[in-house]
Amino acid sequence: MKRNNNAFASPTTVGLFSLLSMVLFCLSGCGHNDGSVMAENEMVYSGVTTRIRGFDPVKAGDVSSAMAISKIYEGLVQYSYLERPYKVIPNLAESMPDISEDGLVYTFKIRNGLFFQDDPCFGKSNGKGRELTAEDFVYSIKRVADVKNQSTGYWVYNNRIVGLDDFRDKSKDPESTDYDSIVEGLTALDRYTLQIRLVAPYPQLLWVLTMHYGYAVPREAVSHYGGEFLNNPVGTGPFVLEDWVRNYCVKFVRNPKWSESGRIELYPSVGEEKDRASGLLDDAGKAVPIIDRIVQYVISDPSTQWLKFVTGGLESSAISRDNWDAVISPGGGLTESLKKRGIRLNKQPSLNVFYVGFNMNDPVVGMSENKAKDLGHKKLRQALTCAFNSETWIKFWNGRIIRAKGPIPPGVAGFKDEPAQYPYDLDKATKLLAEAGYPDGVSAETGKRLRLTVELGSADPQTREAIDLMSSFFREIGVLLEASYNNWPTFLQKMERRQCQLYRLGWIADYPDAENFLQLFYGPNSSPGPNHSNYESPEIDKLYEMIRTMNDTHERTAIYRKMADIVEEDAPWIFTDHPMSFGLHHSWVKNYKHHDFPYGMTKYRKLDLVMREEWQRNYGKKHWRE
Amino acid sequence: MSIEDNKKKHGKTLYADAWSSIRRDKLSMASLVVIVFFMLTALYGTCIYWRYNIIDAESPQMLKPLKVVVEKVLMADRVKGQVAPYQRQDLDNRYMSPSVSHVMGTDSLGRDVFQRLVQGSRIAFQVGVITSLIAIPIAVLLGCIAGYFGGWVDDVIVWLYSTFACMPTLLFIISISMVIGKGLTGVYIGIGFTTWVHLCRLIRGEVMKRKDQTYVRAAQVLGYSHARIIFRHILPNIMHIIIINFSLRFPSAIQTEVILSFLGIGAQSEPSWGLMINSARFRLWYGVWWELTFTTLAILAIVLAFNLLGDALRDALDPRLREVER
Amino acid sequence: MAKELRKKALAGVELEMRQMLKYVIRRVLYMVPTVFGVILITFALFNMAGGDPALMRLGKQAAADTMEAYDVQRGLNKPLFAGMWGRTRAYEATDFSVNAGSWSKLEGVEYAGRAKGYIVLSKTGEYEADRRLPLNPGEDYQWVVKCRLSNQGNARFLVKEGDTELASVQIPESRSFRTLRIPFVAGASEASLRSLIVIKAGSLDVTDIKIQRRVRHIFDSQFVFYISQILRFDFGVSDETNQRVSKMIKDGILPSLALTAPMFLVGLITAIVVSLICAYMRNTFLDRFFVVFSILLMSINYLVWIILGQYLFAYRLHWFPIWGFESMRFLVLPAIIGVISGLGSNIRFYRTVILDEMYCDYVRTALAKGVSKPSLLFKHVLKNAMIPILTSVVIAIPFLYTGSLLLETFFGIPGLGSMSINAINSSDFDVIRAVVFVGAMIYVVANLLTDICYAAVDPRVKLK
Repeated sequence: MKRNNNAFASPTTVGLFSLLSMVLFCLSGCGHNDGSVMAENEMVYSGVTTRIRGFDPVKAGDVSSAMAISKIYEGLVQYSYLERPYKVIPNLAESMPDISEDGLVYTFKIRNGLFFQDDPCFGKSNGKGRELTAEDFVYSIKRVADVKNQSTGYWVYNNRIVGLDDFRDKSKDPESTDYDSIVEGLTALDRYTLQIRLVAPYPQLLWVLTMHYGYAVPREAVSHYGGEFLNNPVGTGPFVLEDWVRNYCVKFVRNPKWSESGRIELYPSVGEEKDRASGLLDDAGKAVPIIDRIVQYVISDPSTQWLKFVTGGLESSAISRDNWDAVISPGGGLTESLKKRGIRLNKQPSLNVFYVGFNMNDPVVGMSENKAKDLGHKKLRQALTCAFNSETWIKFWNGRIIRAKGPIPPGVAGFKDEPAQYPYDLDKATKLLAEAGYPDGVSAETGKRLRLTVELGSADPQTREAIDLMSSFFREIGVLLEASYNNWPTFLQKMERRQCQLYRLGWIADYPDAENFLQLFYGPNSSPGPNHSNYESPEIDKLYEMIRTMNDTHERTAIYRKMADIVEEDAPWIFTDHPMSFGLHHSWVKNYKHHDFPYGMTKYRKLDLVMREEWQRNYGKKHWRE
Repeated sequence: MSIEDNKKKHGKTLYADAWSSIRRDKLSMASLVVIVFFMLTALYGTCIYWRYNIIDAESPQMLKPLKVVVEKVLMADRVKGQVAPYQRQDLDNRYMSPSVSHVMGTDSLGRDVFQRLVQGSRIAFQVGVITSLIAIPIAVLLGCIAGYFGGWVDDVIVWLYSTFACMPTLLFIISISMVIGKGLTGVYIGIGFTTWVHLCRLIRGEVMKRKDQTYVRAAQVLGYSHARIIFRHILPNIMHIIIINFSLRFPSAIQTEVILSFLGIGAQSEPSWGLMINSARFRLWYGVWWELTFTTLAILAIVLAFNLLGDALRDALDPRLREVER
Repeated sequence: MAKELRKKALAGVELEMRQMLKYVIRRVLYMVPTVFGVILITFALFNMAGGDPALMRLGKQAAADTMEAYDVQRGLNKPLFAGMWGRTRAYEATDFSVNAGSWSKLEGVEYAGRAKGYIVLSKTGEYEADRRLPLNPGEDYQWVVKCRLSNQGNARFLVKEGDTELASVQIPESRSFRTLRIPFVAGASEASLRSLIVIKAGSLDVTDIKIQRRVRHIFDSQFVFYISQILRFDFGVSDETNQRVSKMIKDGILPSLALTAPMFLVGLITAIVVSLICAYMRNTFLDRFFVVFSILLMSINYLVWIILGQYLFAYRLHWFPIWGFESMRFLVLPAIIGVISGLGSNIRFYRTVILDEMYCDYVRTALAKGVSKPSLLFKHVLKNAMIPILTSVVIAIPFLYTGSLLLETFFGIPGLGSMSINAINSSDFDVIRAVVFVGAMIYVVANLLTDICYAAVDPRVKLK
């Protein structure tokens, strides 16, 4: 038997192959420098574990996309970086707006001589960035209202600006949306003056305008890029997008237009008392942005993220539950080994609430038109609230959470300091459960054990463990809790279609006002709105409509508390916790201060490169627990 | 090969020969012991599982007597209101290194790692057995039909399996289990419906070879039905192929399940080995080594044992079948 | 004489060429059913199973026109395989086994409940179906109504534009549910179109009422649409990232290859070298050791290789970067892990192949003649074993393309593997479908190429 063949796998072929792979790499390469040495003044930090879903301000709904967008785009106003309580200061606006006495008309003066970055979309001026005008804001806000854009943010303007709701209705026309049609409440009085007229007072308007739903977007870019606009951002902000390899990294560089057009922004010179001592005011009055480049990696794996951080590859990191004991000493501070390396811990309560919601449309746990049934279901919800062992829950989270007693987190007016109405109490839980028709968890009617299903938006080990723990709480009173793990889009879809029985979710404040949390119980906000429990109570609805237009007064705070009490009694949610923010960063990261709304604040950040180099020499290759 | 040879080789003596050659080989015997050990573990895990779950199980009325019997056997009524050992949590004793009370330490909720491993082996065996129960009948049926009848039937079946062979395996399994829905059912169906191709091809070839042999011809002349000829005359003679295939597919099914569960597509709330690895790997960096180590060792032991035994079986039963599956 | 010979030789070459061409054509034709099968499977898996993609993706609050646009873009408004009638969202298709939908808002409509799954129109009067979108003037539509009319009832189904009746059908009395089809053509004054059930007496139970749009021809179906998409190399748009799937695949393929191509090559060479050693040392301790060792390697889970490799070599020993895709250095560790994890099965396979070759008669003869063993092994055995080795190489080519799902995710390589994992984690079915399909196609083509290579090398293959 003889088979003929020639020239398979000769040495030259092999050589050619490895050459090929080298070429392939160069063709596909994202980077050019060796990862361990960072370029001048470059800053590296991890993106959050989720991916960035494009750069369209009207579409972003998640924190990491919002953070990325805020580096490129800007709004009329922004938060003051250092001052607490939170305060709004002008950004693209020249000064704070003139507000009419009745609180209905806001007039903004826009700064002269601000330019969009250079981009091919400005065809008329050979790609040179155009000056920002008041019309840009009119256009940008209309974009949020346009149904076709499927914006995640229309709720901030819904039923607030005169004529904008009509515009939204008209935009349902399948042909195209007429952006030239006049919206009465949204006018550019001249090139630099923007007037917003409201239907009723909107005390939160200035907070809202700091969000990315108020950022200025040039019309040319949208029409030039069409569907690709979300990949080609064109903004006025401190940075521009340099490169974006999806699922891997995003790179930003300093916006050259700023120095070209002579735009100067200064580091704030006012702050809290302690800021001077901690060196946060050292750079006061200096021009920002201080950093030239930002490289943001998308690392979905928390342990990889941590490893990159302790070896100096990332500037900051969160602390996962599993390495808690290794990072945090029993006293609540950093462990010695990390302190020695100059890693700093930033511990702060933050404005958010986590909860397990009941779907009020569910036949087992929800509301019912039948009075007796309705009461029974309410008792069931209260029983489950009583069975929730918050002490163990806090232990599980290593004390990094605050027990939640109501929807309003500490730090905003309306937070409740008194003990909860339904605290952890197994006897009470058993009693309530029996009254609800499930003595010992077994239905008196059918003789079957009560089985509840909780929907979750993630399947990572931490979520699984948390739910295993929670189901052990309910098992104590004889109720079985089954978990259904979904990926995020499926989870959202289930909530929007009201298919959940129970679901676990958190709400992160959009602005520092309890109204932002109380809107989650407003009937008309039911799914697909943010009221995913589909909770309806005429009393809450009435009170919410009252506070919607009220200014910050003691009277309003009293109503906030009353609403929180009603919600606690009706128990559409089991309030589980208010997580605290525990962040770590390296000593060479300067000008870092925790902010609940850190959008657009990367421009203040500074790096001590000498320090970093020294650190790399000393610790870069040392095990972090030594 | 003459008929006598054939008979001698595939008669009862074939299996006896194989058994004696396996018994002579220490490595194979060791593998066999490991497999039996894991089988008993899985059985124990199944008992534990049912013992604690039967209380909550809502069985239909007609199954009630059965439930009572099972409750008696497993003494399930005595554990009413208790939590199964693999679910017992104790936050004060979490991350405990191996000790007398927890031989393999505890995990982040203070649950006993050993008990969870036992449940993991239960799931692994379930996956191995159920996927085989899906894939082997498909392969045998299609392979026999194609090989025996030939013609257009053969063409269709060859087309079917060559199409399946084209699909990128892991992604195909993942897509099937995603469409079916998460959970172990998706895993069973995903693995079961994709892994029959190799065996089907082998059986088709063997049946084709055998259908022209004298004993088959004789049976045809005697007027036996096709089904009888296939299943009574041909199939027993190619049983060894199925046995070898089973012993080799078992470990790969376990490995696949581990990866699927790791990705969050497989087991949902039960302690599968994949889920255990996924949560244990976060703790490895902080010195919690026992969870990952023991899980890994368990997977290694069972898969290695099956692979070694499968190899030995193949050598003993059919040396010609040395074609390695890839 | 010499001329004659040359002529003969030329004729021989020509004949061979012609035979070869014939073979290639036959082989390509043979590929067609397989490709069709792959299309069929991917279609069945992702189009037929699962719910309404538009609803899944856009949510319930989405306007009917957005959903219709989504359907049109993806061809979902057509029948599945073949048929005359497709879907339109102009009217709500309510599933009465869940709820009564917009019908519950009409006066006189009672919902019989989920178990019964129908609505009851009990009062006399007109019931108008809730229209959400305009119909296209001049197009054919039909109402499909499954209903039963009580005894001595009198009811009509009426479609009219202004005062012109487009269709009017008397609903027959019946005890069991019957399906009625009411075809009509939408007219020019479509804005005034109304679809009514007029009840003059009795009560009507409706289990199913929906409108269908006539498609252009019988094969104007989702399946044909899918095939035409594939022919244009258009795999749709990712729901998650809003990018074109074909572009995503194009972007991901190079990083994947940068990892897998060197990994594959090194793995191949190592495995062949080791298996040659085994074959040479057959039945010695070393051989047996390698056999057991390769089974051991095979038995260690892929995940474990990755986790331990990352922990030990990148983190504890600092030999390699932990994560990233900046330079060649970042690819070394994942490539090594890939090589080691695949080594076991490779060694086993190549050892078998080489040993098979060694038992051939010619090897024995050569050995008997006193040819030295190493030269025999390298010159003849390896050369002849190349055909099965090449086959295995070709079969592994699709693996190069998907890269390694887990390796890429763990080490942050933005290739097709991590793209697929992300798609899985966000139920992005269009992306998964495209990756599966392209992977299968590469396999088919690779197979074709091997067969043609065989034929070129071994003329007997062509005659088979």
